Amino acid sequence: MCLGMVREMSPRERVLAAVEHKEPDRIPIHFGAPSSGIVEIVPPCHVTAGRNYGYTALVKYLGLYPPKPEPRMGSLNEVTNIDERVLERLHSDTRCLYAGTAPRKYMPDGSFIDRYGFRWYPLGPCYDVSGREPMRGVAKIEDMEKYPWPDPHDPIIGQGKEKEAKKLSEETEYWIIGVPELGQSLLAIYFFLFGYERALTDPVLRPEFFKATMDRMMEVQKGIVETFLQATGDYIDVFYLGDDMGTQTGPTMSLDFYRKHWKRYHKELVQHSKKFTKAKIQLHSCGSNWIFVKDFREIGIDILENVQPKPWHNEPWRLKRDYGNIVCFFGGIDVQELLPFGTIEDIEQVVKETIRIYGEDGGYILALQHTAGAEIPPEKIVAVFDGAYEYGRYPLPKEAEIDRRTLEKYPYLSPELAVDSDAPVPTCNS
Amino acid sequence: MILQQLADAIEKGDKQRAIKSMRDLEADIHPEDILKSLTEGIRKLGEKFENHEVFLTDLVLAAQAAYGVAEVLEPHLDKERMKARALGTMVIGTVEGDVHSVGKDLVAMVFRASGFNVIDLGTDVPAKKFATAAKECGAKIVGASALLSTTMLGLSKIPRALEQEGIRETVRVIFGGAPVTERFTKEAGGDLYAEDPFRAVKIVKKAIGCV
Repeated sequence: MCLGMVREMSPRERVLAAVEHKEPDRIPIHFGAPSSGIVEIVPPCHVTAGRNYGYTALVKYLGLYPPKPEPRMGSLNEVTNIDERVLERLHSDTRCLYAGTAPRKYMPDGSFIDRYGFRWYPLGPCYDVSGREPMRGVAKIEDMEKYPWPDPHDPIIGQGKEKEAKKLSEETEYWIIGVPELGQSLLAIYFFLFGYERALTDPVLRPEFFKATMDRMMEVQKGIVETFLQATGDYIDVFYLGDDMGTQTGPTMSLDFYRKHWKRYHKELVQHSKKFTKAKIQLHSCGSNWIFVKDFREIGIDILENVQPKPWHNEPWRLKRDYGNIVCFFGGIDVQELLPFGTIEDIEQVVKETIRIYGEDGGYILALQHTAGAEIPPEKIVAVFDGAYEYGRYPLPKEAEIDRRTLEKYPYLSPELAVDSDAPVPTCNS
Repeated sequence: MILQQLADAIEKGDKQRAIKSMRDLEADIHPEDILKSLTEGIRKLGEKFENHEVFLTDLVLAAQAAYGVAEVLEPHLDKERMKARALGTMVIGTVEGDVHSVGKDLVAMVFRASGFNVIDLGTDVPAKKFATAAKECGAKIVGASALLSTTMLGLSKIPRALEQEGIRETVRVIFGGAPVTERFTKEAGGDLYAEDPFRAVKIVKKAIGCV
């Protein structure tokens, strides 16, 4: 549906139109954390092969150095308070509002401990907990219960957030994304606590332990959602939840496995969130998510972020063809190959074609498919967002305008280059 | 029949049934036949994984079942004979600066189940350690993975380290991991690339003339 391009929309109107599957004046754009922004390189984190760009390099490239305020980083070193001038310059229609956290306390070895008790160690350009999970090896319910789970009603979560949210909502025209810590993940928190293999196998090999742990985890996660949304729920436009259900080569689990073991918890968290806000619900899920999309929609997800074009069956044309009328896609610009290794010309062509595929009848917010790593030069990031701004005006072209050479480099843009373009859509019968 | 049940239990990732099937076997069935059955289960699972009929959870559950069987079986195996009959030795690890292990562990599991002698160096492995280990054990293959587009740049140090040890010509180097591509593998001086463990086995077997 076309709204008629009489006037320039406000950012909030633009994003809302897209989310409601109407064509706005141009493709909405998002740049920034929690998972589509940029990292900052701070010692002791480092880059292994001498490519050391990141946030400061971007700010310098844009002629806006020094950044204001001083950058503050999330667990993966993504900048959570990007300079307003940078967001404006990159045409971002969104602004993020984060749950409050205590200041990060560093240990002598450079690691720090977060609200959940995860100790994040420096790893290359960011931090990681893999291999050092605090409950690795724990398999008894009583031991799990002894774990110092976070206080879900810690006042710091919502402290000052109502005022901040009200101001953003009433004094700006941006689309406000409410972001709790770590996206209130479930699968991810499970593997940060016990290790990845345990997260995948405990539902089958330790069903009682899994259930007891999930009950405890849900109590915490729902409490944090409640604390955050009681302060902000009236002002935010979308509430951000997250879990990584996909990998590069396929989903982490079959649809049956998801429905049997995990879906109920995602559903419960979405339903709980909706008690405190009328905002749309956005789910972050990396990797191949194609088999899950109908189920995500069924439990109340409005926006699927951040759609990544390279994983199995996650190509823009396939997602748009199979699910374009039920969810809004968010993301889509490849930071695994296109941005680190492509040319500026590649980027311009891929951005233009991605917009053309995803943008028909709205239903698309352009963003990076994940945080830009330190190996991506700033001029390439700027090329993405200037390209989106230039090529994203409706009406979009009906036919592809990408040359064959570029298409062959990025074959995810064409069903003609896919082996199984006509794979049947998984059914939702649960 | 029971061997078939064992293969089926492995394929379905049913650890308890796999171990029970193995315990039900007649005492005169050779442990190597049991291993063959285990390999058959993994091979079938591999086909399904390639066809996207099963996913990561199924692989990890199958690995747990296979390890469960292998643990019970280990005291009965003639290790020297097994080593001598292995298709070759592979040294495997996650690249320096990267501590992600699940993908690498699965690759190791599938190579073991396919008849290779696998030496797993773990995660965050310096290039020199790959080369030293490969030289010491006469490995035909070195496999390295990276999950991050930054840490993957360190993969290029591995072929150079093998050169410095004087064994580059005798070792095939295979790279994998989410951001790694065939093109990157060539640029980084590697020989082979695979996007999943089962394709990796096929490619390596072909490269070393086992098929």
